[in-house]
Amino acid sequence: MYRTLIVACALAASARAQDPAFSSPGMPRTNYGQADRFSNDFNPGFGLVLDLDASYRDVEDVESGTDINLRSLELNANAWVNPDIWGYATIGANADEVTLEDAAVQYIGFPDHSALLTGRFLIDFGKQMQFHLHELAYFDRPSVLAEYLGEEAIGTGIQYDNWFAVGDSSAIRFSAAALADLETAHHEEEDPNEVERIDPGAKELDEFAYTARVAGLSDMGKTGVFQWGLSGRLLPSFTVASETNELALEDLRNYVWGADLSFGWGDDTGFRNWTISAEYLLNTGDTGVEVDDPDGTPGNGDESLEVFDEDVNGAYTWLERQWTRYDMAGFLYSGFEHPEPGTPFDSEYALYYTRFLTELSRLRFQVSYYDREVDSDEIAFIIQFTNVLGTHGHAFNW
Amino acid sequence: MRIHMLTNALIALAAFAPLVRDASVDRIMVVATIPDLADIAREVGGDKVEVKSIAKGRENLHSVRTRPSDLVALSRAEVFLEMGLSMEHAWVPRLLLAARNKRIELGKPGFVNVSEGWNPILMQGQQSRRDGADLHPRGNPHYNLDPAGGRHMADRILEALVAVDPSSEAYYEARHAAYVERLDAAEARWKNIEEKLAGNKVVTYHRDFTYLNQACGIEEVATLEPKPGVPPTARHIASVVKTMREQDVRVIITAAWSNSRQARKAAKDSGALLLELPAMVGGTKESTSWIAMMDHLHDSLAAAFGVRIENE
Repeated sequence: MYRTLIVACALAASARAQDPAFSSPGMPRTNYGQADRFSNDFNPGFGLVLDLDASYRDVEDVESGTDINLRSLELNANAWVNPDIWGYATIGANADEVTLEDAAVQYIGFPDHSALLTGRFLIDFGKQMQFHLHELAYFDRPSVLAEYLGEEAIGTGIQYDNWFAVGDSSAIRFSAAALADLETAHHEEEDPNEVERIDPGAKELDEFAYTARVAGLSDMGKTGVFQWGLSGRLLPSFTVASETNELALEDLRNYVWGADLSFGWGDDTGFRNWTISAEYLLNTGDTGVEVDDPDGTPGNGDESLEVFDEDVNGAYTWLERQWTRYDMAGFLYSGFEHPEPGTPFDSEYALYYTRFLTELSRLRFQVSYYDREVDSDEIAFIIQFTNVLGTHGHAFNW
Repeated sequence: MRIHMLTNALIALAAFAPLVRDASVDRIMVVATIPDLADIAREVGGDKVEVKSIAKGRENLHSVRTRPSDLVALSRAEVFLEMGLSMEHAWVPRLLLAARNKRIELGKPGFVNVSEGWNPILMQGQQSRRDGADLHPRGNPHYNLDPAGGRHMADRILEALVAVDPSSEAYYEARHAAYVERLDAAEARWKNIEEKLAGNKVVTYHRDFTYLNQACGIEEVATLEPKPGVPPTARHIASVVKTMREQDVRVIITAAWSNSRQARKAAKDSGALLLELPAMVGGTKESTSWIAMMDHLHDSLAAAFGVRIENE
């Protein structure tokens, strides 16, 4: 009997390798890579993602020009260890660096719907932070998310999540994570006054980063699904430093709160769908730090660190229409306040059309306009080509 | 302070969760991927089962949008019925993974791949990506459209219900026998029509009606899809229209999901009748049950080819 069970469990493990979890409206398309048409019995599964873009950018009063980028090359491996444990790892490379993006193991063997994720993973915040850039419905992370949470908010720690049914047509999911380190910002290239959050190594619990999310999903109408969510990312105590200027500030704190609503609906064939989604973010505490350099020459001793503690907020919303199995187009708006005095405001408008050539290959055209009060305005015409070779798997959450 | 408040709220939610999640039901919860399986499960299970279908009948089964109610139902299910042969592979594994219901994991009595024991047609053996998008190396999965498919599905569902609820075996056996009797009568009706349809030719959008056409002796001359799952191109449609003219093909068959602009263009250019048929129970208003759907399919084909049906 015991042996029979082992065989059955092994079969179960192999049959569901690489398949993403249940998806919700506004999540990136998850039946991605070789997880769709063919039976997916690879265990372990390996895949490559090539994300290329060609763009023409016109930055007001600064420069304009065309560029072609290999934005990322991602090597992904994932496997079921046994029916209750699976793991995945992603190594990403671009023209500048090779990094370990994710490496995590998830345990789902609890008697209920709990799951424990440990390792290095993208944070569970809102609808769009738990995916890599190439998986988004549009070219870039909405600017408000990139600004307040980081372009790729990846942390090392442990996350618990659970879901439960409410009646017959609704479910509530919640998660909480403690992270020993968390990337929180994207770095400006060659900025001598860059201020970075410092990881002190061994730390007190209040020096950890924490995330939490609760989200509810319900059937609505004949084909619709409605989702609401509340998220938080907490940095109770952290240190920043400017390496060039040998400056540091300790015991800062920052909290970002988010509220999101999404609705997806379509016709009865499953091919023609609409998705609308919005998320509001409130950034509180010590919301920004910059180097005050009176003479403009870094590293000569007259610099100091200036902390901004004004609450700032922002939001993004997007609407997408899918009209065939392979074609979809949408509009994204994102806007946010900077923490600097006067809370200058940046807006981003993007129109995009995505064509899935196959389930393994995607072409996207996007026009983005950035209306900025801090930096120069910009318009960008982008062609993105993404290819998935083999399988692709992450610990997606809905 | 804020962390404590959040932690307390989450603990409260977690404590409340089991009260909601473990609501017990008297009847056996059966979740089926398509309405055909659900209909037959209701016939065999009677009032001892509560049955839900995930697909509603008009979808392409590679693009079913699952909803929270599907997740909830799967998390409570004691029996899960799937067609198999990679028919639902685009969404079933991830739904099962999210539901985390050990009673319906592969290998458990509650997980039922109904295709087991079925002899599929169009087994391809090895296939590559160059052969198309919707590929089924283990054979054509649309056996719910074979007139003999109902009997097979009923047999597999009977086995499954008995395995999960052996104390009601006699009840399920009796209901199964009654359903098979109705199938015997229906199959005789269909046989009469199938004999008269033999020798006709059709073009189909996709190979979802191949079992039915084979049973009727209808030759599928071409498909509007150049390859399985690949949308028709103008060049391919022109080639199919030419073939239709050469071979005097007068009917194009589509399902609800494939009744597209390209299919209408092919029908217009060739002068053929565009016939939308149900690919599942619920695909048309007449297809209220599996037997009703098969009646409708046979009647529609007979009407399309001008075959006169004599009611016995």
